Amino acid sequence: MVTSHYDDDALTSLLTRQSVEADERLLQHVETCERCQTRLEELSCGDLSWDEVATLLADCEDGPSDDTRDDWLTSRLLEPSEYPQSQGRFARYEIMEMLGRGGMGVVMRGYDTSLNRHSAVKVLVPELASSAAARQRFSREARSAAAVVHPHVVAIHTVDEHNGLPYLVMPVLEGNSVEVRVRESGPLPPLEAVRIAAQVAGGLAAAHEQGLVHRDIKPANILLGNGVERVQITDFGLARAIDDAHMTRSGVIAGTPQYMSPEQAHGDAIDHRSDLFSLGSLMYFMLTGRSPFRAETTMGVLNRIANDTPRSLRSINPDVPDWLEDIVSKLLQKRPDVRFQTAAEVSELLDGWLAHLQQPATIAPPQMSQPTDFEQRRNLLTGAALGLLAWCGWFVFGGNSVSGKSEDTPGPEDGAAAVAVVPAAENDEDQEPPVTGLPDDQRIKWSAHLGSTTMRAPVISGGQVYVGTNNENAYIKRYPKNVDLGVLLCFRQSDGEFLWQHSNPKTRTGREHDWPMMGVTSRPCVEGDRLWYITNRAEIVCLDTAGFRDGENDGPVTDEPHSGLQEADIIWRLDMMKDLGVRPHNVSTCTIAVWQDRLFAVTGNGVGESHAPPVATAPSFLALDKHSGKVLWRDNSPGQNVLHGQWGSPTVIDRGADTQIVFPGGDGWLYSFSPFAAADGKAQLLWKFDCNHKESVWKLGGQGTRNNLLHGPTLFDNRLYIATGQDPEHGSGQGRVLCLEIDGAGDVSSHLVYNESNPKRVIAHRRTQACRKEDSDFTVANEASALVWSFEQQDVNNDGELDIEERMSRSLSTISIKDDLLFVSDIEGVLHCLDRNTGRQHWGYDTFSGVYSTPQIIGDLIYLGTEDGEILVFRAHADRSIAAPGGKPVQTLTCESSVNASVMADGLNLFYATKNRLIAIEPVKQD
Amino acid sequence: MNGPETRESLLASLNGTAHGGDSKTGGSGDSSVRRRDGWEEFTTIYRPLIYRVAAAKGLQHADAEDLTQDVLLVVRRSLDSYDNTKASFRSWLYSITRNLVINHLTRRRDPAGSGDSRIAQLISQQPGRADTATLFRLEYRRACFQRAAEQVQAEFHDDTWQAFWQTAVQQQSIGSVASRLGKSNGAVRVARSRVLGRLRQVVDLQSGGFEPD
Repeated sequence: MVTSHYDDDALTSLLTRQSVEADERLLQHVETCERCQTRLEELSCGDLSWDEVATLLADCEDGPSDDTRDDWLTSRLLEPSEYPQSQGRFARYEIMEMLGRGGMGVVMRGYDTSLNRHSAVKVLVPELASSAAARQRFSREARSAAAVVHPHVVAIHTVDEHNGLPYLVMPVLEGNSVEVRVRESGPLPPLEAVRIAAQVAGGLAAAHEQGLVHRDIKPANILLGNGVERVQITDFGLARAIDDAHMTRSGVIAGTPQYMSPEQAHGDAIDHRSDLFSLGSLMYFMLTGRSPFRAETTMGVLNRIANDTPRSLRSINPDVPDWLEDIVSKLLQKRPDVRFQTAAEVSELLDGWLAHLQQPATIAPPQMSQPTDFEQRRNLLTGAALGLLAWCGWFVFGGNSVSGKSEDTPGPEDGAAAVAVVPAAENDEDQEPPVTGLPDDQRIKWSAHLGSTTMRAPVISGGQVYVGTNNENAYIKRYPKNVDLGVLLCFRQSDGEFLWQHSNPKTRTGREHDWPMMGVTSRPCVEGDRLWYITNRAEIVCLDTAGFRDGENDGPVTDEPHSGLQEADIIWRLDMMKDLGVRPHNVSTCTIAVWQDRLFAVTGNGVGESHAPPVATAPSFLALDKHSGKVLWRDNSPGQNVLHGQWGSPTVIDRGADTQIVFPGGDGWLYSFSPFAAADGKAQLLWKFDCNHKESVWKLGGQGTRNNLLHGPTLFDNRLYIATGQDPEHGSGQGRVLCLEIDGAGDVSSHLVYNESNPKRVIAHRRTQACRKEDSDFTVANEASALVWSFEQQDVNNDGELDIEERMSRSLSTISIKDDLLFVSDIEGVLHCLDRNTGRQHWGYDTFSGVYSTPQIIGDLIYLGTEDGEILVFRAHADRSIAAPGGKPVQTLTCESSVNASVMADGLNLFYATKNRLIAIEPVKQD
Repeated sequence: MNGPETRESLLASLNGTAHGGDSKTGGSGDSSVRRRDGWEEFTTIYRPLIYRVAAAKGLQHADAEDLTQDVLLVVRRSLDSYDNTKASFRSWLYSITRNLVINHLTRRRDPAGSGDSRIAQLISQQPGRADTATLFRLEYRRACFQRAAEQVQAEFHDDTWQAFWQTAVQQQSIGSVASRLGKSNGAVRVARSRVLGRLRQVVDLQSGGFEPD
């Protein structure tokens, strides 16, 4: 023995070589020498601490998978068994499968051979069972829980120990937890949330009566019976038993603390009223899909629980009635003594409301005492002060620093409407020309400022140009630019002089319906001296194109509060939210269609902000009298199958007596109606067509394959053309271009869906997936199919792979057609040129930018605006080398901001609308 | 093995993806595989990272996924602007991605937006830039470590790995882990040190000397 310890080099070799190469003698020494171990650890850590290592690797999704850990656990828990399909034996149970695994316990499905019964066996994991105190506490709590017998509390059959491991046995429950239900299908309707909460409160009341506090009420612990309306609370008392055991050992709080009460978060003594706070958080989750106190770290959550007032329920989900918001906020009071005092009281109150909701005519709503203003304010103040404390580590008296949250400031003159005040942006007048790169034979004729978000192409009619935008440019003095409005601007076509504007304050209902700064995104429809469009307030308005400049106030609406020359003269107005119960998902992008004396519109009725299903009774499609705005007929065919919003526009197929109006539905179907109602006043559906594959799936946030229709179909030579897509915020995905015949009747989709249980009957359309193979659904080609062709992708250059130019992504584009060429853009920024007759792709061109606009054919050229602020001009030709010679557009114009609106022309001049500028281009006169 | 040339080839392969393959020059099966791998390597690191930062900033699952997708798309489109005379590809990629994430979390998005809860949250949260940058840096380090862990786990015997994982990550006591694994305390300490040493080595190798600031 030369030295008693190894030097750093030797130790380092242990760290850098892999296990097979390790020096046995070196290993043997270090494993028995504490000094070398300590040095080895120092070397291995470098500048890291073990705590940092834990942080860096904790929650490692790529770490050991659950499966590995399950195997590892079961191998230590179970004894070998000969029983068929058994994974092993635990006590008297044949373990058939692992049902779940928490940090602290495992749940297995066990078969009790003596009782011939399947049960859930829950075992405290071995590392915790090593403490006698923990074992005792687990058993004691489990026994008290077993004593609670109540329909809404999961029964515990047995509490015992096996091989030193405490375990309990419960029935195996079919069905999902509230957590899974909400995660899978979104927030629950208030009625359903109240029903569940009432049963939970009932179960809690029974347990509290026995002196047992649950301590871990959360969505994962509330089980919903399969098909049965029964709700059951599981894991009574165990959470605490386990947490105690865990905390004693590690000082770490197990699991998610998001549903803890403030007193729990603070580590204070708790009583049954702690469960009531958690019940409040549970209700909040059910109604909004999120827990009220979310933060990025455990400490963050605990701080928020202690200090924050959660965002109001109604601001997230306007379906929540006031009384329900009051109940939840009383449950979520920080101080136990201002909450409801017993679960029984809550249960009774919720039952009362439930009864009233089910029979509103005969049962009166229950009474609830409100928390006083004083109590609320005190809580708020305490919260704010504690918040400061948490931030600074000091107790600071804020003086007058505790100010109320800024409320919606009433508009300057519009008492009824909420006008959101936004910070004034800097005035960025620049000297650069608004567009550069014009060819020699063109020049800027005039340009006019718009707001800051202009999405839709200008409309040129009768010597005037109309554009929807927001109020960032403040043309009218009484509305300074910091007042957010949806604005329709009217300019003189010859010189760009601003004539008048229609001003629409934001809706009081907020973002879900009317996004800040979004402006007006419905492109107007103009006929003669009348203009129709849909405001950001979901009103269909009819305006006089002359405004008040004709010296007349045309009506029936004659009570406009302002009738100056720069104001809009309203003829009539239909408030779809108030009068028809429409709840739009975001501002309308519908262009109203006019035919004879009738107008046709897509209402925009859509899902709620938290993607609650749309209002089923509100119409999706309308026919109106164009002179009066009177509703002639309404239809809600997409009903609750609306995937998201309804942003498309109707298309008129004008064929005299056989005229059709084709509406794009929010369910991805096209619906063709007669312009006239039937004798009973109902809309007359002629045919309908599903633009999605039957197997496609709708998923929240754009993950799925089922798409929406964002525009109206294009009619050309007695066929319809349309592209599918999604809200651009959903990003990219597979899209599709379709070509349809228009003479069908009934369901003219390319396929019909049947189920093997009745292979003769077509099954009803389903919102998220029409054909579920796993449920024995199958499709059959429809003999009445109207589909001529569809394009999704095509290996045009035959190189064996699908390049981005060869795939049709989701589209925000209308179809443009010239002769036999069809042009469409997609959100990936590819301009596609297809053969109109076959759907075969001639070529694709990648612009390397997002494209929100429609390619516009003007003469022999195609104009395409991009998000990067370019206008690319191609030749309308099937040969890519002629369309884009040398792989480049024939013109590339550069604008100062995004071009999301399509380029328009009046026969002589071109009109470009960038996000914030309207530019008229004229030809340079040849001498 | 992960020298600068690998990074350049990653860049080249990413560019291949970004341009969707030029039918005239590319197009062989081999290059398409390389392209795909390049993008996959890039997304292995950054996709979970961006998602986590977004989720930590309070975005819901679907919203965080959206943001991740958006950022990756923009990065993919920005590859042309990389100038290899100014910065290493890795640090360029890091800064551009970080800045995009900060921008996406901070700025108000205005194109044809929907009223989805995502934006409402973005606006109400208004995360501080420094705050997000720190979080991004931490998550980058985590992504590196977790990627390395995947590789390193396969190199060690399961017991050695468990000794490390249970003590260092699950933070269980050395004694309890030793007795469960049937090893001495010393053996557990050596085992966890060896895994950590190797982990740090792999992280260094993979980062090619790049340390986020």
